[in-house]
Amino acid sequence: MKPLFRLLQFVLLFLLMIMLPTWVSATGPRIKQDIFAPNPNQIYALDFPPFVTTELPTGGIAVELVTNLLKAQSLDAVINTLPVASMMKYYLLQEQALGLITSHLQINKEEQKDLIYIPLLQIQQYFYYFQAKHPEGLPWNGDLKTLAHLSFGVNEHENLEPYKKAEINLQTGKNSALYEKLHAGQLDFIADSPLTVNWYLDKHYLSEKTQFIKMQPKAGDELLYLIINKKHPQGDVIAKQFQMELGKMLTNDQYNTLLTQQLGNGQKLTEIFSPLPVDSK
Amino acid sequence: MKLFLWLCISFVSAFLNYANAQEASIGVKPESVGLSSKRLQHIDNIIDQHIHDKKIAGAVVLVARQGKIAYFRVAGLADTDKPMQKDTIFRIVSMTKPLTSVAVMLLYEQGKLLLSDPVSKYIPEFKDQKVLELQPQGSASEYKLVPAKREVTVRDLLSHTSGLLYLFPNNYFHDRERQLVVNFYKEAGISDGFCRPNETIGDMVKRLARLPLYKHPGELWEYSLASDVLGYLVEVVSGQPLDQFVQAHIFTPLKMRDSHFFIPQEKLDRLSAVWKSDWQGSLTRIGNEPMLDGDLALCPSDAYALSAKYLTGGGNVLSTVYDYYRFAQMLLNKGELDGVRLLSRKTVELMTATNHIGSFDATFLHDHGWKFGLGFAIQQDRAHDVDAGDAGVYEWAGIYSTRFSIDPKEQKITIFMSQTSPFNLHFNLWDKLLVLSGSAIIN
Repeated sequence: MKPLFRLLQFVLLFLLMIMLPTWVSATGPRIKQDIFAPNPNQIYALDFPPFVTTELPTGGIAVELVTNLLKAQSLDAVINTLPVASMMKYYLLQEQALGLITSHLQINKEEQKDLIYIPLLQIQQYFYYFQAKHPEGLPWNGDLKTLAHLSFGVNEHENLEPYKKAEINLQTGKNSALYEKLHAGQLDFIADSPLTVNWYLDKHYLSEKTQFIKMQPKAGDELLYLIINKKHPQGDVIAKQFQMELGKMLTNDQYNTLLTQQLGNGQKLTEIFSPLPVDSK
Repeated sequence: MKLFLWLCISFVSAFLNYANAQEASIGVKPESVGLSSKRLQHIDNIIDQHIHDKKIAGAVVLVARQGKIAYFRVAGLADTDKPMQKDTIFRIVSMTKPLTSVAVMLLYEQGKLLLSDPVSKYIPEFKDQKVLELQPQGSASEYKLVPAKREVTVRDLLSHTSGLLYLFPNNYFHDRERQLVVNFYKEAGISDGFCRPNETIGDMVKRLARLPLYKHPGELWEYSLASDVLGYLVEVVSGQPLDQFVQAHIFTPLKMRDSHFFIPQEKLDRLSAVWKSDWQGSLTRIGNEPMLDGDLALCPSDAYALSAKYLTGGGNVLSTVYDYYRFAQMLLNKGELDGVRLLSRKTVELMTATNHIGSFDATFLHDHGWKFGLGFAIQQDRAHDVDAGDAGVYEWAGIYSTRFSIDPKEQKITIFMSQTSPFNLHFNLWDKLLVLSGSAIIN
């Protein structure tokens, strides 16, 4: 019996050697990323540090908030941060992306019909001037008319009508260019969130940071939205899930806790954010 | 006794250093290295004629052979009140790129990166890049952003096959895809860096990486911001700012004492002015104002800044003809100069003797029949209009009319530096200079 068993063992080993190519045990193919299919749920976020930025491991406060909403609803989606609005618009309208995280995007009324706007953050905006240019300060008291005939640097996508009405001279441009112009004395004032101002000044004008003066009272609020695309196959369903989860987070204070964790430096939530519009809950 | 011995050694060492320096700077009789003095005088004539005709204000020209400087001519003005001198400092702009390529290859030789590495391994923003493709007329969108067929690699950046662009060629090449990608660059605040932005190179590169590529990696040869990305890659991989890395690993070992990313205060008066020339007799000195021409923005006055944030591997360096000769001679010597080995022979061969762009041609400064290595254009054949004298010659240039050429077969280096804009009118002079340095060979 034993010799027969040994013979069988030998035959089996021989067959295995023939049937299996030698490289199977020796090595494996190089894995390239294109073997993985892309996630169908793509969300695009527009650079807006520190609310949206690749510089922070969390992706920024707004991205962190959306990540938490996704987790809570066990939704699988990829958030991509982009530097230009036109790419966001392309992905939304041409690629039927699931959604966008942004404050302003020039989308016409017809296109807006297919979009669901979910307010994520209401960010307080303040006017800033450069002290070297205006050692005496500016006469801001909450009425735009007090700033008439001064040069205001503003993002071109923002609503410019109130400033025009107040006869304020407008110069549009990208954020970085506006800060440079303010520093160079080519602008009298700009508007931004204190967190964003700190971010830029720490990066570019650290030694002159105290020269950039925040004016009271606040200039207004800017809403940062999660815009969901109804044309995405899951758009409607996911939008409802997001709205429900955000409502829960607002009610049980998880929303405020999460934002407070992101702020640091002893900053108070009420100095940075205003409450979301009532219908968000 | 010990002190005496120490003094003797110091004296001998100092003497040898002095002798080496003198040999390199003074040069030799052209005939001793197989060049004709008489024939080299043709270079004097052509440079003098260009100055007389007010095509250029001044220039420094160097021809070296067999490791010796045989011709080192200075002519004309560096500034309205300053003659050109052998140690005049020039904005070498894109002649920075070969320095950056060498910096990358130093890291390659240290095993810190592979040429086949995806750039995203070091700069994650390069992951999942898209390529802009035009759509047929009547489509809902003029273009589509499709996933890149493969990731951009370090080799792609070195050989300009990454799919990235420069903005300024948009002035000359008018295809719609290029225009659309350039529009994205502008919207994102990306510039060519010839006017220094108030940000770090890392800030710029991270934005650039998230914009669409012009073509799929490996499917074109296109001169681009790739060297600027490489400069940032050096920073990420080495953990050092680019200027400090290049100073420690290239300038100092090669004794390139007048090469800087930012000019030291005490050398400010050696920096040449930049001149605007129509090459027809109208020559004016450029002041502090930027020179804007369509999508080309140049700021010659940036070179006077003693410091700044933006360090570009594509165009930041200021240098002299002699310093750049030392760099070129190191390459010609296959990685070594004056007993200092910077790169291995094998690496220099990989950079200079190998075509990395397949069937594409490096036509930007040259013509068909020119290929690209890892930082230089390389002449492949002599059957086309731009001829540097031999197959295997490698060279590059800078946008204020500076240029170098290395001929390994003839062991010849030719360097020309002026500070003249616009650049694209200087090709005729450069082509003639190479004919003259080549036809001076007599052995």
